Amino acid sequence: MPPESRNRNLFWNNLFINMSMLTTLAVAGLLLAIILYLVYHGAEKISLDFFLANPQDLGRSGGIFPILISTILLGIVSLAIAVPLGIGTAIFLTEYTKEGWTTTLIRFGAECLAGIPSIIFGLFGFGLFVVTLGMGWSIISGGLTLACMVLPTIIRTSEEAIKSVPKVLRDLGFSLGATKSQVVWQIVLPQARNGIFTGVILALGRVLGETACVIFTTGISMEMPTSLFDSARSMSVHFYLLAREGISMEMAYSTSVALVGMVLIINLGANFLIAKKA
Amino acid sequence: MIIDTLQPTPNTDHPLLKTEHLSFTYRFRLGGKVEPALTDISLEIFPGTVYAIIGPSRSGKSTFLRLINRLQEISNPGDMEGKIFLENKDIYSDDYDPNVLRREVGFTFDKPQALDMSIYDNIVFGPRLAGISGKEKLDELVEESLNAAFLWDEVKDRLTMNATRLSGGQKQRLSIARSLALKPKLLLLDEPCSALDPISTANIERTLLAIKSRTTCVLVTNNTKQASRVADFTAFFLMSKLIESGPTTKLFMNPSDQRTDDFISGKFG
Repeated sequence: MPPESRNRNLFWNNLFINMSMLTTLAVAGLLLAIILYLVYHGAEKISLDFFLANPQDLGRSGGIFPILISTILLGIVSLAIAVPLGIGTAIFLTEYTKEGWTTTLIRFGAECLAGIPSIIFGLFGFGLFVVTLGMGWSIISGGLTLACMVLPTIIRTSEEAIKSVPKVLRDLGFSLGATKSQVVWQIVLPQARNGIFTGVILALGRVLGETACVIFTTGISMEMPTSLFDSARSMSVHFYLLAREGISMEMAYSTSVALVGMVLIINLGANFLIAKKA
Repeated sequence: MIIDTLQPTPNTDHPLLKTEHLSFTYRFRLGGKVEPALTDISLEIFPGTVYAIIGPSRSGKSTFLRLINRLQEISNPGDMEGKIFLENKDIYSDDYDPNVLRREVGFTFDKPQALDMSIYDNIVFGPRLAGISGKEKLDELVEESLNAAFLWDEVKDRLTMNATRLSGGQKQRLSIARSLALKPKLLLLDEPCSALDPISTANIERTLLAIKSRTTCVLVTNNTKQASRVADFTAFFLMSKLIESGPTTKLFMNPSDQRTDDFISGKFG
C-alpha cells in the first residue's frame, strides 16, 4: 500500500474512534450533569426522616412517607397486572400461533400502543376505570391504567427473549418426552428469564416515573392509603404539584432525588440479580 | 469352543425397529421445487446392535432419525408414506402416544446440548416428567446413567454445577446419559461427534459399544471410518434413497453397489 493512502486510512480511522469516544463522553456527561444538578438542589433535605415523616403544610415541610408507599403500591399493582398478561401474550404469539396476518396485526397494535403519549392513557383510564367502572381516583384505577401503558413494552421484550431460545432446546425437551406446555414452562421460560426480567424492570422504571397517567387516575391525596381503592399521590405527581403550584422548589428537588435514587437502585439490583443468575 | 467376540450375534428373528416403504416430503421448502427427503426406505434394525447410517449431507439421514421418534412432525412437518414399527407396533397409529414413544426412543443432537440447570437436574429431567420421584431412585438413575456414558468419574463431585459449564465432549456424553436415564429401547444419534475433537469422539464411541447390549443405537454419521469402527450394521443413503445395507464388514469389504464403493473409498461425499 502506498504510504499516502495508508496515512489517509489511518486519519479516517482515528477520526472515527475519536468521534465515537466523544459522543459516548457527551452522553455520560449529560447523565452525570442531570444527577448532579438534582443532588445539588435537593440533597440538603434528604435524610431518613424525609422518607419516614408525613408531609406537612401541603408538602412545604415534613417528609414523603405516604407518597413513597403509594408509589411502591402503584408499581406493584400495575406490574401484578401487566406482567402475567404481557408474558402470557408473548408466549401465545411465539409458541402457539403460526406467523401470519393475525400475529402481524397484534404486534403492530402493540407497537402503536407503545407510541401513544401517556396522557392519552391517563384520559382513557379516567374514562374507563375512574368514571365508567366507578373505581374512582384510586390506586387500583392508576395501576390498571399504568398496566395498559407498559403492556406493549413487556410483550415486546418477552417475545424477543422467548424467540432467542434456540429451537434445538425445544426439540431436546420433546425428545425427553415433554409435552408442549412442559417444554414452554420448564425449558423456554427459564432460558428466557433474563430477557423477560430486563423488560419488566424497564416497565417498572416507566411506571414509577409516570405523572400524566397517574394524576388523571389516582388523584392527588397525600394521605396514607388504607386500601387499593383510596386515592393517593405518586412521587412524580408530588414533585409536579410542588413545583407547578409554587409550594416548595426545595422539597420538589428532594422528591426528585429520592425518585431517581429509587429507580437507580432498582436497576442496579436487577443487573446484580441477572449477573448472579447467569 | 472359541467364541469370536468381534462378530455380532444379534437376535435376527425379531427386529426392534422396522420401516416399510418409508417416504417423506417436506411440506414447506423456501424456494425451489419440492423434492422428497426419503424415498421408499425399508430397513430392519435388530436389538443389541449399533446401526450406522452413512451418506453425504442432504441424503435424508437426519430426517429418517427424526421420523423414528416423531420429532419431525413438530419442527418441520411434511407428508409421510409407509410405516415404522417399534417392536411390531405401528408408531404412527392413533393409540401410540408420541410422548411415550419419545421416552422409548432417545435422541442425541449434533451440537452438544445442556439444559441451563445442574448436571443432576439435566439427567433427571426426563424421568421426572415421566413421573419417577423419590431421591433414592433418582440418585441411582443419575449414577447409573452417567456411568454408562463414562462421565460419572469426571462429574461425581460436582453434580450441582450448572451443566452449561461442561466442555463440548462432556456435554455430548451428558446428552447420552440424559437419554439413557429414561431407559430407552433405542437411542438415535444424529452426527454426535461432528463438533467434537478426536479424544471426545473416542469417548462417545466407547460409550456406544458399552451400552448397545441394553440400548440399541442408530448412529447417523458423516464419518465412514466411525461407522466401520463401531457399527454392526451399516446402511448407505444417497439422495433420499437407501442404496445398500447389511453387516458393516460386508458393506465395507465387499459392497454390492458401485456408488457405495465410491463413497466409502472417498471418491465423493
